Amino acid sequence: MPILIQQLSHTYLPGSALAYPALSGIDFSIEAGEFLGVIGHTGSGKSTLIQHFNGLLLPTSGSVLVDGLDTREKKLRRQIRSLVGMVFQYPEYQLFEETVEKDVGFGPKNMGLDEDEIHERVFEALSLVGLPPEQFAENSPFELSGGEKRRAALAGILAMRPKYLVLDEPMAGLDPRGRAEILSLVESLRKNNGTCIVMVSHSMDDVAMYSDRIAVLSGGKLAMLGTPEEVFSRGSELLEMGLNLPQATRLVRALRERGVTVGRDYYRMDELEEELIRRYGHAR
Amino acid sequence: MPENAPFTACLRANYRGGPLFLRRARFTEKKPLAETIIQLVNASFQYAGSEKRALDGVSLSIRRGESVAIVGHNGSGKSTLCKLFNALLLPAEGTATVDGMDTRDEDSTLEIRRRVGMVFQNPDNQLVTTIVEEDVGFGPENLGVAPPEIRARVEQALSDVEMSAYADKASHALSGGQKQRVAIAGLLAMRPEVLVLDEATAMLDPRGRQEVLSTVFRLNKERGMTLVMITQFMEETLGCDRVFVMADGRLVMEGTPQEVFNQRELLEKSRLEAPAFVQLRDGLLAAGVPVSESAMTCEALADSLSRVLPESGSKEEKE
Repeated sequence: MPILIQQLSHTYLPGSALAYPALSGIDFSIEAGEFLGVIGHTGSGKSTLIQHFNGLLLPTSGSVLVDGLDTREKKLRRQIRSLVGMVFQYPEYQLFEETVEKDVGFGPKNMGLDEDEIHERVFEALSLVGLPPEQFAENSPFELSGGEKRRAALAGILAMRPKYLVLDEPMAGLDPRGRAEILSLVESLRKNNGTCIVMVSHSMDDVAMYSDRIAVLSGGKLAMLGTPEEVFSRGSELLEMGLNLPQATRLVRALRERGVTVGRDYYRMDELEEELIRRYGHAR
Repeated sequence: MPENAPFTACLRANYRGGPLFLRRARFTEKKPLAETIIQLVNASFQYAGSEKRALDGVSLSIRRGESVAIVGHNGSGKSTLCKLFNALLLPAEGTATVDGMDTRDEDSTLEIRRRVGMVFQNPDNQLVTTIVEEDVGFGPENLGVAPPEIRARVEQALSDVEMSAYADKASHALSGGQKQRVAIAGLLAMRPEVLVLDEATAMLDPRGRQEVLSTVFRLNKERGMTLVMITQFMEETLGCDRVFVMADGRLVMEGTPQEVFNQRELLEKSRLEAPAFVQLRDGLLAAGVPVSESAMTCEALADSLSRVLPESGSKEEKE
């Protein structure tokens, strides 16, 4: 069962002079097991949207159903939050416990699980994020490096075994290797556990590389929804919304301006590289 | 506001120390201008309670007017390094000098901080007042600059970062890129010689990043402002004169972007990678496509490819 977003609108401070409509008429669904990229300029409503997926924000009108559970139902919220794991920007700032084990175990403990189950989940989550529990469990989370902290914070969410994992800019501020590690972790969660991934990112290359579908938000509306190929073939519209294009797409456009057309709008560097090599071979 | 009124009366209590400090400033400005503005000699630093050195024997010099990028993995010591540049941290061993002044000399601290302005990562915790122009005036006011002069500086600084239209706006309502530009204006109003950006674009969206980058590169090119930029975005370094690569507290490479990004193995070892177009270029070269070996950007690679590949209109395009 999916996350159904039906005619969702959200207005901050409704009825006041500062009323600000952040989302209007958003209507789509997120399928279980898919990788959905969410892109949009600052202020486009991305963060407002994803906070609806686990009931942190509630619709001003319309509804959000997670596996059929309406987020407006207060009774269901605990259940919804164990289905939908939410990782905010710079999650490492939210570490707070004395040991890594306690920090990662905080979520499962709140779910009311017993000690053994918590322990098992914590160790599983730490192994998943590449922090061997025997080495890290007893450490203070504050002694970890930046990249390790980020992964420990992610483990805290994974320990709840969410069916849907929502990540807001999970790679911000990480070095290239750290970015690659987080991305491959997220991708393997999807592949091996069937976890649905919703990833908000400014990096068009990362979104292009991993997403099955991409949702483009602009001015609080769903401006586009489609495969990376469909979305990035509308490059001029994206640029008008203040978004970037994947680097491969930028090169295709720059070549076109110079009178060289490559078959289609590539959005992955590896595929474009193959095409360019093939083209050069043909030309000779 | 009358011409001679205090710029922001509420802040006035803060600059009792001003005149004394200004005398020192005039004195130091008489010294001949050195070609090197920032120099580290064998500088090391270790945080209290940490087992290993955050910086381990780093020597480097940054010349007046050049643009320098500092890259390195998380925890490589980049930020620690930059904090030595304006005496936020002092080297435990070795020396750090700014325009000939030793950062350990407490009498020089204020003057060093005026000359070397830093912009940090988070746009939300660098602005100190509620109104944009008051924020920009905060620095010079603390330096004891006379109110009419402050006003002139604030206007100039806001125009330099293209934020004049927002002078009387609330700073909290700005976008991230705008906040960072206001933070830069606040530094410009103190007439710094060096701008240090510590991952100042990391939390911004693409448009915000572009705004900040074009602002600082313009200040570098047109004003000769020395620019030091820490970044995790390798492509941001391509506009810089030199790139320093940090790894595990040491300076492991320095050179032009071209020189540095050609050292693929060493980059890899430092947990970094070349910008995407450099990687594509090298992939193409390895496959025998004769693109220019100096192409590092999208535009340069497109130029080079357009000379190598057939133009559209040839039979292949119709498929």
